Amino acid sequence: MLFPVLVGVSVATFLMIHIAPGDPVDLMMPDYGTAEDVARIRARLGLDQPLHIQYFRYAANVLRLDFGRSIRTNRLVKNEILSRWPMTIELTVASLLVAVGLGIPLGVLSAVKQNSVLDYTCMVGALIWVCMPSFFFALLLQLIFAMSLKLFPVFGRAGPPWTWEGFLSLVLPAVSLGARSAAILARLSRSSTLEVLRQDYIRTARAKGLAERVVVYKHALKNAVIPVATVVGLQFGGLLGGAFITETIFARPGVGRFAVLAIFNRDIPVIQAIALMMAVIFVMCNLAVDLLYAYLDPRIRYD
Amino acid sequence: MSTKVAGKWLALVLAMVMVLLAGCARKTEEAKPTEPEIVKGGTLRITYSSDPTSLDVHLTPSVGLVHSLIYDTLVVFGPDRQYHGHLAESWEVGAGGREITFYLRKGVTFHDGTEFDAEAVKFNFDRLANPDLASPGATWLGPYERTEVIDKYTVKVIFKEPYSPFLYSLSTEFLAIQSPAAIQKYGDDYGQKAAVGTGPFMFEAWEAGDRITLVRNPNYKWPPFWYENKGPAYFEKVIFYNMPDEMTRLLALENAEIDIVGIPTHAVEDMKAKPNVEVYEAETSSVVYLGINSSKAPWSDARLRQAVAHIVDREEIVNVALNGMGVPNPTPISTAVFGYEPSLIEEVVYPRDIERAKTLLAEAGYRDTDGDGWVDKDGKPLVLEIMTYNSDPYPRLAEVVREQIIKAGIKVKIKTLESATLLAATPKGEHDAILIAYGWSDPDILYYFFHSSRLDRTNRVHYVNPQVDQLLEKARTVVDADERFAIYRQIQSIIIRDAPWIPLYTPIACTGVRAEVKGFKLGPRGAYWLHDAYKEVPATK
Repeated sequence: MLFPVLVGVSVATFLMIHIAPGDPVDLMMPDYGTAEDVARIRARLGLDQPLHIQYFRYAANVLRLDFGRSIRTNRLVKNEILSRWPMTIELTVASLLVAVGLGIPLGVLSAVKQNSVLDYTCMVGALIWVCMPSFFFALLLQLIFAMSLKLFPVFGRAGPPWTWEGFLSLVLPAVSLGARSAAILARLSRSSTLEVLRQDYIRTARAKGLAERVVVYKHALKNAVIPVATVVGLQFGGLLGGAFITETIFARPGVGRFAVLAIFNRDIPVIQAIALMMAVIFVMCNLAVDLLYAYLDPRIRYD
Repeated sequence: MSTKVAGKWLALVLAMVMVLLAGCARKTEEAKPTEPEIVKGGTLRITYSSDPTSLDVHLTPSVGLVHSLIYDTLVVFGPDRQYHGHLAESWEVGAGGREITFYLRKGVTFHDGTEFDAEAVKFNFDRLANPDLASPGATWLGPYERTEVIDKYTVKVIFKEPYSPFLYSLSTEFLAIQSPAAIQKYGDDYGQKAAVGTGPFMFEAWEAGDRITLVRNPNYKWPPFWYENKGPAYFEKVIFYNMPDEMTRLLALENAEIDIVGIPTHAVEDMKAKPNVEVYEAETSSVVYLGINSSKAPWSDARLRQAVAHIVDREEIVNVALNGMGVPNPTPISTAVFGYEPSLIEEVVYPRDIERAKTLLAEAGYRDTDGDGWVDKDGKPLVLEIMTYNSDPYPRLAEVVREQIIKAGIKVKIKTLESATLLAATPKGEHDAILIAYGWSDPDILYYFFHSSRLDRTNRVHYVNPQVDQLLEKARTVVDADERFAIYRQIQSIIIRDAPWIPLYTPIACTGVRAEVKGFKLGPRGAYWLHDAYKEVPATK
């Protein structure tokens, strides 16, 4: 699966960049550059070649894991991405933890206590979070927890997450990025749990006289979580995309902001490399979800 | 019901989180160092919105504060708006403006310990001019021919023909002097992992996408003459944080996590009201203008463009769209730049006069024949499509301009575009008009905007006028300042009359500085002057 996806993504990105108006060299040259200067730099970068030649050259390099140099900074794209990637993964994983840790328990709890005050507040809250734009939520968090309460810094990455400062600077970005996913997971695990709780085997379990706690957590939960697991995997991809905005708002270094800037500057090698990287991770996530599925539901192995 | 419940829910979550974090908060407070009060020193924290391309000034299309702290230039632009010697103590112009001899300052060393001398100047200029390097800044050297080393501290720059904007070029960091030894030592890594100049701060680290850290140069004793501090800088460190989001920058300033931040016009009032923030204002070297395509019908008819020039109300634009953060300017040169000539306003600028505008439209054949309020000719209404940037303040600005222009019966469409897309669209010449800005500190820039050889690049209004071409070429070769001024005055008066550009205003740049930072000044082009600046108490983050 991976290979055709990568070819598709690389061709699509390549075409999109070249169709989009705006030229990297024009943007790099200030107003006073002459047409000859521009032509010279374009030739140096190989941008004067026909499109298909440019693409095959690029593809051949990628197969050798050579992603070229950034047009803007002349740094090796591979190094640039590898140095930033861990920070984006760090933020994405942290926000996934927030999403799973908050979303699933609240959803299950709402289902078990269906139609209670807890259920209503959780679901209305989830609805609000799903609807709230992430930049707005981020701003709220900054205003309340950084400006008024002074618990966290407004911006930046103060260190790796296992240091105290580093952890503090990760909290607001992770919560702002994860909240929406938490809300989606909460709603989903609620409906999924409700569905499972109506199944015959649950009635049987109750009839056997098992304690409600055992019925819910031993019999119902594992089955209720199966559809949720699929969504968690897909959410990871979504969070990775959302990290682009969160990194910008909280001024955290990472691949997302690097990508946004590259797009503004039409820095072709960088955009292509990041698109490929995202595609690889998406495919990997799907694979992981499939494996998880098989683990959670043994029947799938026999299909 | 939902809002009430939601409010309770929000309050509940907040309360829970606050209880959970109460411990954390206490811990942070304990962790705060109890340093004694430092009178002069500390770390200065500044923001930038995207990584510089390179710290090698020969390999970057734009230079900024970070370059100016690492490097010194031969010439500086002083508070009196004149050029003064810096690394060059003085200079002489010879051979009718084709040669300039510089007498260099002695006893200046680069951060790597090597000495600054005539060879270093020659090395830098030759490298910048070398076509193999394909430097984006090479054009700053103009018709450069070569540099001759006369003796250790005397150097002569020779041009193919006189090049009058050279002093301006020399005052920019594009022509700052970098250590030849370091450039040779670091090769491709120079500008990324190392940057060595003679400036008040030395490069320490660049964590790409995150921050650039500079440390004080303890040997610095050659600041420009206007500073009181004649020794090394007071700050021990300067850290530049990469912060693309405007709102976050403002919050960080207010929260004392950052010391200096540029303030967008819409936030100036708010920031002025903050007790711990001082707001500094400076006229910039920019001009925001409405440029009309002078080669595309119907706008190729100068009367139509002149009609628009009669309609715009610059006072209103500045007050409504910019909260007053601009100086109305109907000339193509910034109010803060050599060449600005206020007497042109009385003499040639079209006064605001809607009736006169309507008369001009009628002369060009545009009248409201069907009584619908819009002028038309051969059954077609007159439409002006204005392309502008999608970033603040341009969309707002365009709305105000539209409201003014439609009063004369001209239909106006606004198209907001990302900057790369807009700039890429103009060489084709299919557009009606653009509402954009430029920033430049020498009138030579008019060559790039109005010379007919620039139609495929920066002559975005497709203006062709042989007389203007000739004057622009001549102005480049005239070294005498008064004579140069007179030529640019003539060029400006033609452009104002022909109205390919309708210049609107010069923006005022606002900078917010934490009140604990003392001695901060803004230079005449809005540059940060930091050498007298210090913090009374180091901020604890």
